[in-house]
Amino acid sequence: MTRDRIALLVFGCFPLAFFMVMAFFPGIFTSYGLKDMNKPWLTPSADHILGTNSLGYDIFTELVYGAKETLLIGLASSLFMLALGAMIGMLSTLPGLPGILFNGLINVFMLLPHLITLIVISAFIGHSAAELIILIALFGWVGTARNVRARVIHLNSQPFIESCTIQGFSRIHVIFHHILPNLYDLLLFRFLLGVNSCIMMESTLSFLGIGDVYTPTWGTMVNLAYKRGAFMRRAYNYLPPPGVCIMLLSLSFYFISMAVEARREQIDL
Amino acid sequence: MKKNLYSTLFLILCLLACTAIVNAADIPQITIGTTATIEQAVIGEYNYEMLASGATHIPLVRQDTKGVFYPQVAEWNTTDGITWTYTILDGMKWQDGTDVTAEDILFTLEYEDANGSANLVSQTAEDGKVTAAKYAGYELSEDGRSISLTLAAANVRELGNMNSFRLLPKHLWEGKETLTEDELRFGYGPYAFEDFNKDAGTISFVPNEYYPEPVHADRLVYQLFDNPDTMYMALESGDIDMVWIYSTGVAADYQDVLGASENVQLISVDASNAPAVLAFNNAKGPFSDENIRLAVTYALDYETFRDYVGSQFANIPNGGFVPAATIGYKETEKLGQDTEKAEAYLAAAGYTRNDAGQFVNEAGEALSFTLTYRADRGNQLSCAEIIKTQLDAFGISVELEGLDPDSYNAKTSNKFSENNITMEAALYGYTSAGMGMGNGLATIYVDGRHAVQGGAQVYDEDFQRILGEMSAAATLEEYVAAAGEMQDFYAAHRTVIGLYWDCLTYGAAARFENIEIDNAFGLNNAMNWLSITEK
Amino acid sequence: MKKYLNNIITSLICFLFVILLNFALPRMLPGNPIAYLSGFAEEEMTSVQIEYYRNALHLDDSLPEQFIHYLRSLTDGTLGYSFKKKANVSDLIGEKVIVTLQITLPAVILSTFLGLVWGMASGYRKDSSFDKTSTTGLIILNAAPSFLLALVLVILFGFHWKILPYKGLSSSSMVPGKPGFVTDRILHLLLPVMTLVLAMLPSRYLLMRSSVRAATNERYILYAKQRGLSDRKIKYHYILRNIAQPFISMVGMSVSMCIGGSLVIENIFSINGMGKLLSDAVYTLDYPLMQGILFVTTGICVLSIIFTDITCILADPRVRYMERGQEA
Repeated sequence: MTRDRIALLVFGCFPLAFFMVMAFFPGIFTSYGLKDMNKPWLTPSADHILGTNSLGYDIFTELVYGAKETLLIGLASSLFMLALGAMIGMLSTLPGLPGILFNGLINVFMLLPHLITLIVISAFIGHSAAELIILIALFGWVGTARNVRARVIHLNSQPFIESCTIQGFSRIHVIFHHILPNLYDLLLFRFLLGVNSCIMMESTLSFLGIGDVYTPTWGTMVNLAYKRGAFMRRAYNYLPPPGVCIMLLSLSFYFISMAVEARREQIDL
Repeated sequence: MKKNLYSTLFLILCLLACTAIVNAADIPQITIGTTATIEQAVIGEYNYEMLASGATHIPLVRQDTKGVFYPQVAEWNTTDGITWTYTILDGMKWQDGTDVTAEDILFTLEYEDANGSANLVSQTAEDGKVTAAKYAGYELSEDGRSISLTLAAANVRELGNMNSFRLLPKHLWEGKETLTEDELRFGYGPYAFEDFNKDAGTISFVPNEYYPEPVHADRLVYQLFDNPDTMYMALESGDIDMVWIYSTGVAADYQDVLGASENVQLISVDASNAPAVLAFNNAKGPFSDENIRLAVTYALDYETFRDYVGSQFANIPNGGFVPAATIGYKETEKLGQDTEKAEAYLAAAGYTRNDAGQFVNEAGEALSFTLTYRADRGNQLSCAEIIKTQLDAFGISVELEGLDPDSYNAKTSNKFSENNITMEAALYGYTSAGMGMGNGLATIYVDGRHAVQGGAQVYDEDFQRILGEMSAAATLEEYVAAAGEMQDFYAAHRTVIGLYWDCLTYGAAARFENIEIDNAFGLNNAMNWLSITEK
Repeated sequence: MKKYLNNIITSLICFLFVILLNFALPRMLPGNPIAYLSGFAEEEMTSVQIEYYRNALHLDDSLPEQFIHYLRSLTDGTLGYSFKKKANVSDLIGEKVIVTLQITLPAVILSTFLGLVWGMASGYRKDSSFDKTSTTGLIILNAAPSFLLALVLVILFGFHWKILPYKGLSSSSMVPGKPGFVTDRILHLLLPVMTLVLAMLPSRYLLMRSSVRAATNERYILYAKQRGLSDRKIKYHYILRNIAQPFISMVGMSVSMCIGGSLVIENIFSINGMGKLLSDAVYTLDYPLMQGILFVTTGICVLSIIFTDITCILADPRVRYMERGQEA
């Protein structure tokens, strides 16, 4: 464990741990309820660290509760994305027609323009958290699938897999006991990277107005701020903070993923 | 010599004074900001027609904010409310100098008929529904300056339809299959169309030289905006002179910021629209039970809506639903929170609180409903949130469903849902034009049989009877009596409730005075351009 | 070479599939498109008009027939006719694409160029303080969502220092032909372009840097330095050629972004471009317009992928030699 790696891990884990505590124990950070209505549009003060918004909700409270929503959607969609990508990636290595079909599927999804198709699909899927997770995962799996496919093709040509097949082990056994374990580090890396892009995608979609409004994520907060005239009121306490939180969260995931990759590089060397 | 000198000096002084007066009255340009989407800027495009109603195609009559009607293009006369005679005012001319005559009125009615309206002839829709003709007959005067229109049935409120009646040019349009853009913009109001610059988003108008009275602004420019935020910022910084959105005032969110600015003056008028309505589906779902409707309306705290969503002029509505500026308004009991009554009504419906605080019926099913609203309307979003928070705390669970305009319309109006309205409860915003349409009192939104709206899905016999009385009214007194009955019906059965009443607030630059506001078109009306001055 | 040819053929097949999808997607949206043609003017549309629109939108025909009409509209250059906006779809897209391009094209070019030069400089001088500070700064920038960047820039330049305009592409009185139009347009473009550049720069920089870092370990770089070749020659004649491939692919991917525009940027800066056109189309169930936009965006995507693949083949001789080596 080099000094650099430790530094990276610390930089990464600290904000993440902070936000996770925020998500699970919001009461520690704020005594207000999420929907408590105080006077609207208050500027930051001792009572309200970040002031209040147009409906009188304490902005800092919204930020704290938004951590849970953002993390939930980010992690869930990344997991979903990972599973989907791994599955389709492996299926695309099948010999014959199924493999070609799934490979074609990967290429088709690569060609479709992401944001635009998402907006059209969201018009008839709905806006709740569950649907948002599906939407975000709908395009993110492509990168994972391609990496998995490349790795599996590489693995398939390795001698130890060949010897397994010769010894008569079934294909399922080979997949679960030999191929999958060799994918773990790749999957972990893609997961961390995926959380990052999921959080970004979620915040962009929420900013454009697609997302659950009653339990807002950080992206939705910025959207609401923008739509409720925060610009005109020069409400600098309302507009930047959620974006800054998103930035910190994604930075922490990035540092953790760099620490993981550093470990991989060490082993390779 | 001296006499000549003095008289010349006097003449020069007079001339100077005249030019001073003229210069004082001449505003070089008035820029009006609007968020309306305009694609082509021709008559036939709904949004442009609303805009042109203040510049080139002014309506026949106008109504001020107190509800009084004035002739604008024609004066009217009626003895029995069935036959109305309109006489074009002297001096009204099209922008090429041709006189405006009553034949133009006839031509407009016939032209609309050819495009599907039922003015002089009745129309049959493709599903067999017949819309009866509005007018039973007409008679043109000999000099062509008057026309007498006989209604199929007496209507004391006929003038309300005339304050958005725009004329089309018979001498230019008659007999033509297709019309050029210039022909489609040809008008008779105080201004004439000059240019539509799509890149910059401006529509500009110059004075109509044939209009009988002089206008006070040498140029009228409408600046199109994509979102209201940038538009209000432009007003605040002085980039535009006034703000106009059809049938909507300045949003409550912005009023305190604009009000604090020195550049801006806000003018508030009593409104006859309903900015936030909670409408129940009276035919399907949990709210077909009147007890539950009454319970919910007694469980809400209306002060929250007034304080957080409405502007400083907002107040709590009455059970009679229509605001005070409506014709036929009657004082009914104000809405108020009464949790005991709410619980009593719920008990009558078979729901009692369980240990968790939720209202359940005997089978143990919790009382819940879905509240549909338009996600792009800020005030509806706020109201929906407040309703959910309050009712959840009370013990009724609410699911919010914020929809885009398409899906919203498909669930909340007869026309777009193909007569299958599936909402359980929904938030609406009723325009004052819509509230006054048909028989008034927002009945088009409540009556389940209305072809276009009908969101509240009321098919009740009493309701239909009162509706019949309103349309049969031959005098204003009869109408007011029937309207009073309707408001009592609303208050008793709570088919729809208003969440707050508000004034319509208009925003203009602080340097203007003598502003004239129209009841339907706000700041965008011909009278305004004839009276407005700069300080 | 064969691999790339395969790629190109696959891309074309997928494109055909995407055309099918473009046809199907809008029709799956809920609602009746005819109702939206007449708007909500609280008046009824007559049966005559309904009939006309039903014919014009071919809604009575069976699905395969509608599909034939759709294909025909693709080939005759109009991409269909939007009844809501009363114009050919291709004209509408043409108008708005020019607006969007004014922002995205300079941004892509600037960010690519900056990323290339900066990443090259950092990767070449590995682990110098220049490298470390640049990389840390750009990693943090990478983590910032695009709307945050836009908001911060608008607050700083538009409100606080008030030196740049923050909405639209031109002041309300400016038209082409009036003096000062170009300056005014450039001023309006500065903020959106800056935002996009800041958003796109980090990924290009990081990719460039990591490839250059790996490449500088190669022996031939050591030999080139020994022979006294200047740094600039090494960088741009040797390293760049070898690592061009992934970089070109990344640039190719971002071309499709050029056309799709950046919805977020257009939203914040109130720019009437492709993003607004698409949301209009979705809001009003304008089938022809939706299909047209999806078609154009996907088409450009495919073309740029094919183009970058060809460029890779041409730029990197190893690909050609590798094939030949395998065949030998």
